[in-house]
Amino acid sequence: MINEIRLDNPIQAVFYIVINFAILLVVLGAFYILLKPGSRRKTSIYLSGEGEEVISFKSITPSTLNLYWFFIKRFAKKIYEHLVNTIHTGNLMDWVEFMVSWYGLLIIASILTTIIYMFMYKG
Amino acid sequence: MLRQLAFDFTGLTVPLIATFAFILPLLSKIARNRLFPAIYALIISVIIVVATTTIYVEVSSSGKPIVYAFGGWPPPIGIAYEIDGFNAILGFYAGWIILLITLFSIWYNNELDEPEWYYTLLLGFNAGLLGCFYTGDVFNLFVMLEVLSISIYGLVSYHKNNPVSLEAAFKYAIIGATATTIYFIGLIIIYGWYSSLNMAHILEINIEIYEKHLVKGETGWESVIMASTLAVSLALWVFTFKSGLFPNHFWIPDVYCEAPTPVSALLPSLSEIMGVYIVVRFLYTIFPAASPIGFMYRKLVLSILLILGFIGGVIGALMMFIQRDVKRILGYSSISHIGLMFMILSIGAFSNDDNVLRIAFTALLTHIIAHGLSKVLLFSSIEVFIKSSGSKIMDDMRGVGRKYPLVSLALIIGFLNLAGVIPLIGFFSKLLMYQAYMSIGQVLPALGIIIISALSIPGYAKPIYSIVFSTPVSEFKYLNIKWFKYYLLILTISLFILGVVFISIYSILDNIVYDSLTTHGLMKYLHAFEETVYKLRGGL
Repeated sequence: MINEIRLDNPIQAVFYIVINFAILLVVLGAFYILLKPGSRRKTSIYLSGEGEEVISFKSITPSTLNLYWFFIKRFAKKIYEHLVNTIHTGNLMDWVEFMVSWYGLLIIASILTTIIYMFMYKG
Repeated sequence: MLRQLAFDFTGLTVPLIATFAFILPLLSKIARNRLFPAIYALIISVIIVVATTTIYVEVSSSGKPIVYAFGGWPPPIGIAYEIDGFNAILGFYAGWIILLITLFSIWYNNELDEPEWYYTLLLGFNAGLLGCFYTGDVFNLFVMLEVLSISIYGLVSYHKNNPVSLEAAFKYAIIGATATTIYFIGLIIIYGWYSSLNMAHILEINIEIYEKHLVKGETGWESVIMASTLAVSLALWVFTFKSGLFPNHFWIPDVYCEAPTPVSALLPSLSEIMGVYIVVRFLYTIFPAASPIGFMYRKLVLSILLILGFIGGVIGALMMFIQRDVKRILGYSSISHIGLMFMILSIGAFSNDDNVLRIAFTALLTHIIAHGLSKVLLFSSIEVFIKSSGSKIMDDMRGVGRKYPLVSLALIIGFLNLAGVIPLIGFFSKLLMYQAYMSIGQVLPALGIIIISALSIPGYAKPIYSIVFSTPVSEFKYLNIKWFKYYLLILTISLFILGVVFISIYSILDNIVYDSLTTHGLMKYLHAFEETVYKLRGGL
């Protein structure tokens, strides 16, 4: 059966891998439901002599929002400064500058091509 | 019989939609019912679906392009529509998206103070869009582009009491009008040298020149090289503006944000795709590698488009992350995805081998479908949250998704599809893009696709987290979304189904690309044109 699966075709390979994972998920899920214990045993946390507040989520884990602002303010600050102050300024004239540059580049490309052609096939 | 029906639809669809659009205000005066324009537009949308589907089925099953010469005038004298596999499938896709947008607009109907004008503009847009897709004439393309553009300017500024909406439409219209004028100048140059405006006829002349130059070694083609490269340059600038490729993308966030939400959904799924389609038509059908622009220019320009696509992809992905307005996030997401589309269509810079083009354009078509469906789904679900929370700002929408589990599911699936998660169709389009570049040994563009996809993930996670998983900070109005939830459910399931049956979709799209954009496809396009000219001039 496995020889029939053409792994050199990425689309087919992905398809079969997904199917296999889905089957695996269903089987594991069925096992979990069948073998799930009726009651749960509770054990106390071993903290090496420290108080429980050491692992309190409220005190030591930063919120998602803080992680987000950390990323923006520290890690990506320079990238965003450049993006917002140089490219996406919201000023119509800045837009036109960028757009005209692209227009100019295209026109230069066509003029350059013609000049090169004339030099290469002169006479 | 099917061929005849498809042929008739080719000629009738666009003029009929335009006629229906213009008589709508008059009929609305007679009907005096707020729901009348919506039902009227829905009926026409169903007709569009029937017409575009018939055309697509016929062209894909016969593998032969349809050429419809208006008024019986043989092209290039008269205007002709020429539909090969590529524009047939885009027309088919557009037809269904139009129906979805119309249904969305019906749900949005209460927000429209004068629905007859909204639907008139929407139908005008549909006529212009299908005209742009189906036409085989570069001047007719200009006319249809104007019809589409004027309708879209009107639709964007529809909430005329909102000054920001007017400003967004004004900025878009000013630069858009300049763009279409530039395209017109390009047409003057084309007509000046080729004495023709028919796409297939220009292709024929281009191949002839290329053969003379390459095979027979004739020189003195400076004027045609100058004319063709200049005309293509002007057209490219215009259509990169219409599709929103960096650096012509600045209009997108403002316009998406301030337009009525169904119009915001229509822009990335239809209007921008038209721009992408025309760029492909210009660089792969009218001016292919075997044309005067094949001398250096085409490769150079495609390389530049690849770089711009990458920059646009990265900028869009990064800018998404810092937005507070949920509609702006979708705007920047479109900039990123258009960047990806341009990256894959630029593959001709490295190889014009038919097998490579087949993978690349199959990837492009898949991405167009995946991205378009996702955007319609996302704008539709977001509108539910906007109405419920009374704001587009994500801070005010925190946790609103908890009130609507089904709509939240639609939102999550829509974003996951854009991010390219297995087994949704969005994954396969990115995989094919990667595969196309890897098949020619181009690691950098392939890596670029992965980088853009990875950078965009935090941008997609942000609205999912804010709208669905955050703890609600205020009370939200509960909306009874009635039939609209089924609409969202069907769209959500369709993204799954398209992913699961992708092997079949792949072979369909691959055949279409083979029949239209490869050397074999170009010959078919040319042959269909020549056959029509021969018949109309009295041949058998």
